[in-house]
Amino acid sequence: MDTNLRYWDLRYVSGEHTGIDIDNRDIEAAGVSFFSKAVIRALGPKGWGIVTVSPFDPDDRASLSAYLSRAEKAAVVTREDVVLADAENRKPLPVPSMKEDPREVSLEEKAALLMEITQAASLPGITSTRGTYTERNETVFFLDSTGYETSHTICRSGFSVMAVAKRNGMMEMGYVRDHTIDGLNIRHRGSDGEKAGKRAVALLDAKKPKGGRMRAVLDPELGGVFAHEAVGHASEGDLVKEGASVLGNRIGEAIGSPVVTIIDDPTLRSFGFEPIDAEGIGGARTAIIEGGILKRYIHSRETLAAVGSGDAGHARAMPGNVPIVRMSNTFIAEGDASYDEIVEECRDGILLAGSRGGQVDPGRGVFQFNAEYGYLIEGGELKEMVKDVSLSGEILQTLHTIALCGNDLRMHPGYCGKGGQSVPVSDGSPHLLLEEAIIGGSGDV
Amino acid sequence: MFEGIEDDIIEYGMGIVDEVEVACIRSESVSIELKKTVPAHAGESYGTGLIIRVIDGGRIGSSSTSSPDTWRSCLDQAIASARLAEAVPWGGLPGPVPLPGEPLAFDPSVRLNPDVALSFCNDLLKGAEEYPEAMVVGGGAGFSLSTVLLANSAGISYHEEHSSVSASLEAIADQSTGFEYDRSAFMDIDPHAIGRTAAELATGSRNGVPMTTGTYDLLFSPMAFASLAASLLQSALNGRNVHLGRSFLAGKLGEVIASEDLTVTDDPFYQGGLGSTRFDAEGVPTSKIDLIKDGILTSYLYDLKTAYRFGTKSTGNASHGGPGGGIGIGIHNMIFDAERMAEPGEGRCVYIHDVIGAHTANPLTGDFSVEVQNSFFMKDGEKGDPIRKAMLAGNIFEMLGKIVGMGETPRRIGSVIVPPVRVSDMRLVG
Repeated sequence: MDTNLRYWDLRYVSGEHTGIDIDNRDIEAAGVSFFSKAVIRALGPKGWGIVTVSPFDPDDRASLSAYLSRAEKAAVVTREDVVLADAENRKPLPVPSMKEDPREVSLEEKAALLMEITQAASLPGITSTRGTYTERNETVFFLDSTGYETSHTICRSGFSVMAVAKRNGMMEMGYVRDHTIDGLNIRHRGSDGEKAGKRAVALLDAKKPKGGRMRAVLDPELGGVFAHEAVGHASEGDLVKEGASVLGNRIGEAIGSPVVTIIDDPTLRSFGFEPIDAEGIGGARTAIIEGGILKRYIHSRETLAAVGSGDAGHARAMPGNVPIVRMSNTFIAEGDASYDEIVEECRDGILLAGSRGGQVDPGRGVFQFNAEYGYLIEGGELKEMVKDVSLSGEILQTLHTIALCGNDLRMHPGYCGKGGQSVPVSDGSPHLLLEEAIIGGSGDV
Repeated sequence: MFEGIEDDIIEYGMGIVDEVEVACIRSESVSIELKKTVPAHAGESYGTGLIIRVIDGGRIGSSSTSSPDTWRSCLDQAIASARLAEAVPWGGLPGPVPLPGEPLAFDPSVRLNPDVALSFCNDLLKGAEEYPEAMVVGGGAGFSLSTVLLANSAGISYHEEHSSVSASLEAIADQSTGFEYDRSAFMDIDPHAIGRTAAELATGSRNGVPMTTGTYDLLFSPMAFASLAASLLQSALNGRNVHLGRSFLAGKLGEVIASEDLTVTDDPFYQGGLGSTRFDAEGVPTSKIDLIKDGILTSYLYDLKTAYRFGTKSTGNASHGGPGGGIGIGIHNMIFDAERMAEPGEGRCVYIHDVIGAHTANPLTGDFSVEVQNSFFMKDGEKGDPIRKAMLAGNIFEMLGKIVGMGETPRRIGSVIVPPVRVSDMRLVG
């Protein structure tokens, strides 16, 4: 392409989305949809001109050229001096092979498998069940002004099952979900439906905690959300660059206890895996915190050049959206404590488990996340079940309160929202003991 | 670019199934994004979407595509989707009725002009300069135009245009953040005021003081109230959730569920409302509906399928949002109203501008515990010390019963329209 641009790139994503929705044993909806979306970025003398277009035909070079001209023209009003770090690693990783390719299983069979999971949730006391299956097959094509070109196809699929239990006008829900890049994951998963049903029934007898400051044990799923909300977002290079993160200018500082190591790794075979990032840069395993010391940020080419300290290869985008700095697979590294030791060492406090998500204000340095359920801990033993409990804290203080990291790291898949874009991620952690946590609750136990 | 395509799809589809519905959506936008105080991204977008729904023997199937040229495979998938779905007692798609009047959510003065977006950005920054101790983190402004065409085999061919104008700014002062935005269907947003408010919030929330755990009267800003209450209440009013046992409000029609002066209305004709429209996603004419009237639950929300299934009428609340572009149930403009107070911050209370983590509330029971954002002790309407951090815990449905009154002036938060809301006896954990 003949342009006066310093740099341009095209990211084109096309594919299909399959969704199945089962409601109280009926197939409410099941079907396949198609998408074709491109984002074209052009770097003028100053900043970016960006054109997003849907549908798009990557073989139509005349229309690419026309959109590039539009992007070039749009960039004229920008005033930011954008510099890109050198593109060093441009080698894509192979997409891991799947055990069973969901594309080779009929919609009818998938619906029948989802039905098994959903029906397994119908235990005594359960009044409503719902199962959903989603599958997205996408082919990503990337081309830039250096002539670099790469493409890959990846399939992400998974399910969720929800059960509602009712008794004497009280209602509770139990929820299990699993998403993966490893292929079809809905065979022989009735036990997950049952788990959702049992949790819903058990929650009918759970109490609401009254909240306050106390010791807390986080399970691996919630510990992962903690890593994601309390550290991951604040280490994103764009927020650091714009002055919107409390972790800015703190490389080399001890921001957590010496047992804390937190890593973001898009190369890990987990739900946030990317063969190559959204700027055509190979992913890097970035140790954000090592032994309590802030070591690195996660970056795009632009934020690496502006901020330094860390790795590019962390730019991600929803189809047809502009790449931004994102986490992929984020986790707290294992320590050597056993689960029993952690609960015993907690003595009196609360165990929080499962996640309903969280949110952070990285500039203020305050985060919040919510547990699906938990247990009071008294005398080093689990006691009464509690529900609707959440935790909030200040980034620069909370990491110092991590007293023990377990030896039982597990990753959990999910989706993360930022700047209006939602991308697949996984978060993980071993069991953690926090010396002091602020627990929100409206109850009286 | 769709001219005539809907007729081809309907004609072809009717050879195979009982009924066909086609929605074509086309949109364009321009936007400018600020990084700190500098325009960094200038963007344009062009998008199309085609959604096909078929009904055959009470089985409903749908599919969507961003490439209208490939409508045949989209139609094939919609038909395959219908084969798999459970049949429901179906009474047919609606036929055409006259829907006179000007477009409700379209302002012809909205132009996709990057120079206007740039001048909005400059106004945002000028507004923020009124509080020079706050540093601008980012923000931006954008305009979009879209057209929707809805046609079906019962003879409907409705066309509607929408416009949207938005601007936002984020500022920080020390470790205190402020964010403000506005979005409207009309050119009636004030970027200068948005910039000023963001910078004022950041500056004013510095040096927060600790607070004691306890029970307090609260004054929620429209933003805080909308993010806590709107989506939970909408989900509980959703007819499908109600009849399938997933709503806290099931079986409570005609009962008192909130303070006696609380009224919640879906008003699809609200001037400039982002959700304003004369017909819903399946061509049912919309109407104004009282959902809660003087504290009494008066109506749930229905699409055609749920209404036919449970022997009632569609309330005109079908929306696109299900899998494969399928139909879900939504609200057009959600209007909250209660007894107006000349001074909703009277006496002593805690003012809460926003919350962190509203989406983590329990969607079934309405229980929540969230972190407050930009909150202040308040006396007789005057903001006092900012609060460093606190968790607010409670239950949305109980909270509706604790509404004391509302301020005089409503504002729009997306498609929610609500004044500041005074609520008594809420628990804050300091």
